[in-house]
Amino acid sequence: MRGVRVLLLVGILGMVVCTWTLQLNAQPEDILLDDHSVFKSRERSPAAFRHMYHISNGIECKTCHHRFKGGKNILDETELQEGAEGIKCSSCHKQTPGFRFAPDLDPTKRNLQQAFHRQCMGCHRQVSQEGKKAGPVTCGECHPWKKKASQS
Amino acid sequence: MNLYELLRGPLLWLSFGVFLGGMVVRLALFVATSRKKDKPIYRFWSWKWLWLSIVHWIVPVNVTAKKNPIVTIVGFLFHICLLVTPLFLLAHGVLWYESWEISWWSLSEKVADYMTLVAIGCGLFFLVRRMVAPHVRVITTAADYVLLAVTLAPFVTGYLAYHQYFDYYTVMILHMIFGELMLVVIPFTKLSHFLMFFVSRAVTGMEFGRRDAPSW
Ligand code: HEC
Ligand code: HEC
Ligand code: HEC
Ligand code: HEC
Ligand code: HEM
Repeated sequence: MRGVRVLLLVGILGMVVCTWTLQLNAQPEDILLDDHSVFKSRERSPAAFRHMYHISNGIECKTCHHRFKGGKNILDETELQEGAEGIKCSSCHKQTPGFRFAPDLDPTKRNLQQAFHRQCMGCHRQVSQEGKKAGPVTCGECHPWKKKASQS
Repeated sequence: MNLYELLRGPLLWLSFGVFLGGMVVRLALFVATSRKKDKPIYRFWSWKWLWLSIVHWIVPVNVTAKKNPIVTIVGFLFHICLLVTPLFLLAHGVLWYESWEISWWSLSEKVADYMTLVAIGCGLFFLVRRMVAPHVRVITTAADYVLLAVTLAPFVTGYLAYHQYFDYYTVMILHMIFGELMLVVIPFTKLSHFLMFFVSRAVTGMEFGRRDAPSW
């Protein structure tokens, strides 16, 4: 009897740990948004983005992640895995706009910088206009001076 | 609405409105007055003298340039930095895109940063000149100093903000206040010469041209 219980406990614990790490795997904690594939020579320090912090603030994956077809976001959330194809914003938002990720998907009008700024600043401004605590809206808060100096 | 949103929204609208509206009124008043008081200019209208005059004064090939080369050089540098820096500043461009989804070419931030310093340096030159050159000093009033300060304030605060000296957020708010103040002040002061320059140069050019005498 006792053996079965221990086995059950270990099993459940194992499952919890597994899903927990899988979750972590699926949703990176903090990201330093420093995409060398597009920003080859930088003007500013890379922005730090607390991915998990935003998610735990109740923002849904598809508010930020998308795959547009006919103006509708058709992204399947199970596709959101680290390293999966077409997840990074730069898979579609390139240096120059107009890229089409797949023939049946919409082309984008924004380059990577515009896409990031629109998403991050757009939401922060909207939230702050609603009178709630929001993230930064001024350049220097997202691109602090110090990090650029230390970055070679 | 917090201070940032206030300055970024309604007050920005207000200052651009006053600036553009004010300049339209200034032009309209000028035309109305000249129609009443300077009828000959319309009778002797000459595109040739109009453009010759403007061109001669917008590129440094005139009497002032010969008499006062240093003032001319500093003046030109100052005006180039004054106009080009804010129009083609990357940070301003980001804000235009955020508000209107419009974008155009922008300077690299390093270049803009040096141009800001040049603008401030030239401004200081004019300040010192006002204080020490006797012939400038006699025609200087307090308003001239205030206007110079209003013009330089956005550059000084912009520079401090970019380098994140002092409390960044406060400096940023001050920069927006001074930038908007400068825009608002333009139509009501001699800063309006950015537009009225063309009008007065055109009129003077045609007036002298009528007598076949160049005004430059
Ligand atoms: C506030 C916006 C936002 C929300 C909400 C959000 N993400 Fe992200 N996520 C990002 C950004 C930005 C990146 C960085 C993309 C890049 O580097 O191009 C990212 C990266 C990722 C990556 C890593 C991609 C890679 O290979 O580097 C995964 C996986 C991911 N997100 C999954 C999720 C999941 C799952 C959710 C919902 C539980 C979620 N995200 C919610 C903005 C968000
Ligand atoms: C599979 C391709 C693809 C990926 C990956 C992608 N985008 Fe987009 N994005 C598009 C398309 C297509 C549009 C719609 C056309 C447009 O507005 O440019 C769009 C639109 C946007 C918009 C404007 C949408 C709106 O609601 O106004 C923003 C902001 C944006 N993307 C940011 C991002 C960010 C940030 C990421 C990374 C987390 C990202 N995109 C990843 C293709 C993509
Ligand atoms: C859909 C809305 C939304 C989007 C998109 C979004 N944010 Fe935020 N962000 C928030 C909110 C809300 C907060 C404040 C949460 C709080 O502290 O209560 C925040 C806070 C922050 C903070 C401050 C975190 C801290 O430590 O206090 C940073 C930095 C930040 N966001 C960066 C970003 C960046 C970079 C992006 C774009 C990749 C982004 N955000 C996109 C809503 C958003
Ligand atoms: C909410 C955060 C946020 C704010 C506010 C913000 N940015 Fe960014 N910015 C980003 C993100 C995220 C990226 C893309 C990821 C990266 O490379 O850092 C980016 C990229 C850039 C880039 C392209 C990369 C480079 O260094 O060449 C420039 C330039 C830039 N930002 C300038 C600005 C300026 C100027 C302002 C103020 C008007 C500003 N940003 C405000 C988040 C922000
Ligand atoms: C017409 C008046 C203005 C002038 C002449 C001006 C000029 C400048 C200059 C010279 C800089 C710093 C450049 C550098 O050193 O690299 C700057 C930065 C900046 N300005 Fe202005 N500006 C004006 C108005 C405004 C207004 C009205 C706003 C906002 C609504 C604004 C927003 C900014 C921002 C966000 C920065 C970047 C600060 C940073 O890097 O963190 N400016 N400006």
